[in-house]
Amino acid sequence: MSSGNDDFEQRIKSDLRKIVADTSPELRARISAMASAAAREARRPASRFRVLVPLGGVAALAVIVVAAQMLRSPPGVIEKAPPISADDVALLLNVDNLDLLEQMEFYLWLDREPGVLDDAGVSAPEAPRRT
Amino acid sequence: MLRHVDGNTKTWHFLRAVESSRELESFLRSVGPRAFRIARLALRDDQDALDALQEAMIKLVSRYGSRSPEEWTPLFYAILRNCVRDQQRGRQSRGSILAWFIRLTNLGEREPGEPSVVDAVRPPLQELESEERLRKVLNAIADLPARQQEAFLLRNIEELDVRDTAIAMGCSEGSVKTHYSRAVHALREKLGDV
Repeated sequence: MSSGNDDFEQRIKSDLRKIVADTSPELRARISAMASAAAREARRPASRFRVLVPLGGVAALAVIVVAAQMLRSPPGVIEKAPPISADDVALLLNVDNLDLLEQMEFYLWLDREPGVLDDAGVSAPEAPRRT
Repeated sequence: MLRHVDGNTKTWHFLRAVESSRELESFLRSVGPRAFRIARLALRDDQDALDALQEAMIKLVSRYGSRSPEEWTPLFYAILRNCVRDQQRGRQSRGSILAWFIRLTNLGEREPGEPSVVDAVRPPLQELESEERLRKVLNAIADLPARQQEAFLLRNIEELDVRDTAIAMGCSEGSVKTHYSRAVHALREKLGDV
């Protein structure tokens, strides 16, 4: 930067200092009062209120969501769950044993057709044990 | 710096908080008048500038009061910048209604040669010549684009270095240098040899 620019900047800087120094006493007093008020915040211990307000908000939101769910479905009416397919079970259990998976499919079919067991005159088989 | 000597943690924390709050208060008192001038130039209104300053002080204490004092200055000016922006946005929405009203009633027509808003700044010195020069400087700075004005004032009023100015402005050091150099060039063209 050239010395001409430096002189110019120095002059402006000095002007700005004068402007700041010339801040009226009333204004300085207001700024000091603001500084004291802000600093008092640092002295204040962390209020429980600050933690409780967001927690209260979350709790209220949860209550609203639950209430909305209850209002949507009339009491006593439980939505019927969709039938479980063997694929879903396989996905859930991540079973590699194909024999076990086939048996599961068979028992699920048997469960859906209760009349088959009665016709055959046999009692329900025990659930296969996982090894 | 206080030391934890008596084993009473609560007392130590209390004393630390008191000491920290004293340091913060002293910092805010010293930075306040300079910060007010910077906010005043951007907002061109005493009350708006004081509001922005108060908000920035409270935010610094509540969010960054636990940081080391060396970090306070750039952080404070970064917060003040946002507070000034908020004030400007608020004023814009208020102003659009007011402007509509002024247009409707033809109250806002300014005569040629009528002083601008910055002219309403309290005369800084008794000497008329010097007073006139300072007013010219203030008007020229107030007319700079916002980023150039920020860079110029942070470097010259607060005397921040390039690194801290970049933190306060939320930009790179290269951008600070560019904004600053453009500001000096524009002021030199406008003011000549003041």
